[in-house]
Amino acid sequence: MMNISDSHASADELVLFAYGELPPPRAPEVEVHLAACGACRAQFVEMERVRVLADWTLEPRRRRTVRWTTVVLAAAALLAAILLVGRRRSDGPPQAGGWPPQPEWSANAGYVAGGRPMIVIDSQLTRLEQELPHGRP
Amino acid sequence: MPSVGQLLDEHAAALRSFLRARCGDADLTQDLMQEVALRVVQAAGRLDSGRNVRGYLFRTAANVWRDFLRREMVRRRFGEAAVEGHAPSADAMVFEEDLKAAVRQAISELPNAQREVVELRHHAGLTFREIAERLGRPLGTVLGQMRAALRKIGTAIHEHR
Repeated sequence: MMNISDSHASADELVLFAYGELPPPRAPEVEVHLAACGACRAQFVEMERVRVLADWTLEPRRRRTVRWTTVVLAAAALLAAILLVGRRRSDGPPQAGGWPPQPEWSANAGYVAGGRPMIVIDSQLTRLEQELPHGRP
Repeated sequence: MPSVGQLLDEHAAALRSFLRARCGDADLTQDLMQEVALRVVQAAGRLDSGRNVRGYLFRTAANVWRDFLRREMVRRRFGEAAVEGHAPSADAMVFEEDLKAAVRQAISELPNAQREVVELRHHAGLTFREIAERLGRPLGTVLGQMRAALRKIGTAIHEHR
């Protein structure tokens, strides 16, 4: 009787298994086979080393997009606040209430927009810039 | 919500099988299992009942395996001292950056059809089936191209190991 671990994995199956895409019931069969078959495992581990390196080198695009989206939104908010400050300076005194909030000058906190000091908004932007994935940590 | 110990006990056999298939060694499997347990215990406060705990455990095991392979590459190059402790040595960091540069170079030199598959899988995160649909190629062709690409990248970085 043929043992399940005698059934070698095909090259395509090893690729799918390495990337977690081999569907059941074959995935658990290949897992059992690899634990018992040195030849298949050697082939698989060689592929795994390169897969891990490629994964490590090519950052997933989705993660980067999310970060950039955050930064772009934050930058847009800052730009809007700056424009509002400029408008206040050129258009005279701000009108109370309404949206977007009008920046106001406070002796204690400097310019304040939407109840938040501009200096805090600026420091948050700086932090976001520092978190940009210029290089992997 | 079961305790971390209960969770690990419940999934221990499957996690051990996952790691054993990859490393092929009983003692090493045990070491890697301990690393998984350590990481899960450290993250216990962030686990909640609404989360896919089984998925989390296997992602942790996959990360432990991935980190083992990375450490192994550095160990082969510099010996055990380079991977002891939590912070990699300066030599190891330079080596890792060199390795990544070599991988980037190797990928850039792949034939277009293979490079497309590598980038769609690793960079865009598509499955092979999705890649086959997007590129209008049979799944077997896409898998063959990925295999060929991994082999070429492996050959190109061989001198760094």
